[in-house]
Amino acid sequence: MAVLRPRINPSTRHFWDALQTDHIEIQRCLTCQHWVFYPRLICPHCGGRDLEWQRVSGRASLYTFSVADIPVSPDFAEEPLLTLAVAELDEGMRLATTLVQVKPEQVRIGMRLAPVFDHTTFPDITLLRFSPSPDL
Amino acid sequence: MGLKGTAALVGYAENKPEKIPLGGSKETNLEMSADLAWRALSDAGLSMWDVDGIVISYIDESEMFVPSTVSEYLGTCLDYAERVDLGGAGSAGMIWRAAAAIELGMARVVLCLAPAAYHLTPDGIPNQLAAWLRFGASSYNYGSPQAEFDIPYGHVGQNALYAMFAQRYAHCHGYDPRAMSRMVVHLRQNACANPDAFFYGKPVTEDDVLKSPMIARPLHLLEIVMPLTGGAAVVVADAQVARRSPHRPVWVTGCGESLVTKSPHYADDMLETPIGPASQKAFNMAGIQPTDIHAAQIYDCYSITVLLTLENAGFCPKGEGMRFLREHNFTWKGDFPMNTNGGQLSFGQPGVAGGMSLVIEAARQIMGRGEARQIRRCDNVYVSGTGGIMSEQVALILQGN
Repeated sequence: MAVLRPRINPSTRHFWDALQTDHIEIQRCLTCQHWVFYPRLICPHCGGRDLEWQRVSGRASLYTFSVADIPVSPDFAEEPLLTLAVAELDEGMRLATTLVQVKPEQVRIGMRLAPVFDHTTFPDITLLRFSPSPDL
Repeated sequence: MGLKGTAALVGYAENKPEKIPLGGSKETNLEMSADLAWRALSDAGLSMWDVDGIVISYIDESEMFVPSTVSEYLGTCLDYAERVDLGGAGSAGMIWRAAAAIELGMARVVLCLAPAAYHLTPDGIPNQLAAWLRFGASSYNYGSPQAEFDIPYGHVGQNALYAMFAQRYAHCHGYDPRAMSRMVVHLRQNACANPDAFFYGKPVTEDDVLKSPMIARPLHLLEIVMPLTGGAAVVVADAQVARRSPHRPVWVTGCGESLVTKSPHYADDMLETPIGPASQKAFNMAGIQPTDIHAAQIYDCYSITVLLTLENAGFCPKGEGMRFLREHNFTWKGDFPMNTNGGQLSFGQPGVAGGMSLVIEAARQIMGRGEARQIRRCDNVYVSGTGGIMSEQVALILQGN
């Protein structure tokens, strides 16, 4: 489910297209080798312009989280106890997401996470959520 | 490098914070700016004809060209003007910009304006307020990274995002909800000595804080500011004007500003908030240390902001903030007077004027106009400002001598 569409632009479209096929593709700077998220025109680490899309596993650790005991905004009023999270991919970059298939009380910072491809009610949008995966 | 300390706060005015009327504010921000400006100038023994600079925050009435719109309304003739876009850090940000402009010779008397009236659109929807309620500190406009990578996941509004700092802090250093509530109680005690505070006459206990509704665990309702309407103005002037001022001049001797990311997810270390480098620069510029401070006016949108500011600004070692909260008394009578007007948590947060209320309280204490809550010796005050989700932070050192 999704209530607000990501506002995609031509230079970020590739990221969303990959999610549609259950893959995660992130930009990597060919000049300094840093991973770059979110997608950009120029590497924020070195200024390099040669950014290449590379596939990653989506294995991650939980950097921090919070539980919205009251809805974060009117748009999310139907999503009780939304568990906001910051996932740190094993490659080092972080992204905003939500945790699914876990009770708020079970969430621990540092826990291992696996990607969950949420094919939303918007036909062209897959959101990248995460769930705990102790074996990863 | 940095400020020489030859510009001073010489006068101020602020409105008592009130609930935002359902139908929108009666007064426009231009009317409120004019009223606040005349009162602040009168406080400083000056008039509108002395003003040659204006720094202002956002106003409902104009998306752009705010300074010239305000200047036209007031009847001023300006040599320096700007709108500061730093959210809650904007008030502290306005003060150092005014001081810097004065030291550069761009202006002699600068008005810093933070009106906070809210209006309805022709459809009856509160303008800024509706956007603020829906998207908080984020933008859902095309091309905005927040519109693409934050908002669709519910990373929106302020409460749950500030709670992520508290959760990370708890993981790294441990968390003591009672220590946080104790600090909140002390700020409320300060408000009870300030008849202009929204929560004047309404003391709370630690249990009241801990039993107030959980908004985004571990943050309770009473650890979160209440958005209100109000407004504030400060006059900053050069040394020649300041020395003729009816009040003890409050010199701007140190400042620092730091911002790296809009969304906190991308910060290298979320707990190393920008107030750290901003404060170090401000202290170095003023040539004093945190131990020299007589009162701290710390931006308190949330209890967690205060904790991280105390640590990162150098008032206590990192990771020991909870112990600091347990061991010190933050009332105006205490050993670490902090947010002596009640802070935004208990004075109220009228938009950007909430941050300005902390600047004004610093000036008030240095000028010796604290009345029932005047602290005994007050020459050196630290002020901080925070915008967005700990996105942009500003530190000021204000001194009486």
